[in-house]
Amino acid sequence: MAEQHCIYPDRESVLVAYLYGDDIPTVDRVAFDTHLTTCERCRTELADFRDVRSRLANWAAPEAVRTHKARVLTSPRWWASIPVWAQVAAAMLVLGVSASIANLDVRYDRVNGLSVRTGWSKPAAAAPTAAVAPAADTNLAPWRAELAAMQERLRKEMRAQAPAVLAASAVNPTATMTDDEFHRRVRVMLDESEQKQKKDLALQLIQLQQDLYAQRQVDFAKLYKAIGFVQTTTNQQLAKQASAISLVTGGR
Amino acid sequence: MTWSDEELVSRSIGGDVESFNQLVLRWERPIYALAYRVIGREEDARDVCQETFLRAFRALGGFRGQAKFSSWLYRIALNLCRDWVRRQRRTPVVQMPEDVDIVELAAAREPVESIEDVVERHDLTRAVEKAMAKLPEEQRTAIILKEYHGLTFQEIADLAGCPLSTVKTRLYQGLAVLRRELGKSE
Repeated sequence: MAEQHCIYPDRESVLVAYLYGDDIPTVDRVAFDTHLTTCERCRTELADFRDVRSRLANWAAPEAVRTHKARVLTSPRWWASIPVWAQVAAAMLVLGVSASIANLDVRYDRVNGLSVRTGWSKPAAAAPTAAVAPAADTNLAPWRAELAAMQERLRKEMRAQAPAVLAASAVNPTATMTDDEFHRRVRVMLDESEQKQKKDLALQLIQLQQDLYAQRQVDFAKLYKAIGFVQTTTNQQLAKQASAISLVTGGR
Repeated sequence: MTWSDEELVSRSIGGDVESFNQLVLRWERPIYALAYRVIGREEDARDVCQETFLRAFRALGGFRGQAKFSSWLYRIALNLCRDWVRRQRRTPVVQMPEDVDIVELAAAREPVESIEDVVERHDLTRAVEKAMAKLPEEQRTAIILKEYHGLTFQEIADLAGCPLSTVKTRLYQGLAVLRRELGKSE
């Protein structure tokens, strides 16, 4: 059937305004009301548009599941992507390492030779005491010689260290060090080592987390595939049942 | 006490972050629904929604209240949606999984709803999604803002940056396409 011609001025705009009841003065509304009584095309189109609108009303967006509050107001931390259990483990490990290193005890005697102990058994302050021996005690001469050798060896290692470590020490590294200075530098090296260990640990944790995530993706993919099969079968059965019920009830 | 959007904005600018959180809670759902209907993907719609609030939060100081806060928010969201569509270089078809979980769909609804109703509504939803996907972006956006967000022609025109008459034309043309497409699916 050929569509009926309509010459209503600005027809499309008026029809839309009439449909939504927006931006249409009363006088224009009344005029279009009158027009509708005589124009089948506009009447049909209006009815169809109303039908379209009622069908559009069935299109619901899924529920928004994320709350943005926390993410808007707090800056993300790098460890946020690491699972809680891993964070706890990392924290425990770092605490343990830190505590042990903080109580490092370096000793030397004739019986046991050079020994390095860590832990809470002895305060760290005891180490310098062991290193400073009375000059008059000639029995300790080998002890001092070996300690001097160790000092020299450490000096060489320290000279080879990164500039940042050397900068941390205010004393010229080539100058003769006092025992206090020596221990201070050892502490600097240990601090640096601790920092490095923390970084390595963080990197390993990240790697571990990535590996776990990859594995989880693979597992999920397998799971979805299996569920998809079951679901397809169920949906097909449901659709059949729905058709059957529809037939039985006569499409009511 | 319930604060208006503008009051909450004012308090947020003054440093009261809880006020901004209230704005987020108030507008999260509409903005997400807008993003979902425009770009058609839940995950991307969530990202757009989040980015909208982040940008709003950062730019809050520049909000002078010339427009309603909601209009300002809609504008940010629509710009992000537009960027997304351009970036994707593909028709923003609303994609439902082929084997949609009707059982889950039914479980989420009122217990009085029959399985036939669920299936029928699902079919209707899919038909609407497909029809909407046929629309050019401007027409689709106009219809979404009018039908689902209740904006006036003038508000849509302001958001789209076009004359009011253009909004009416887009709506008319969009409805005509939907009428045709939905007629096919019957």
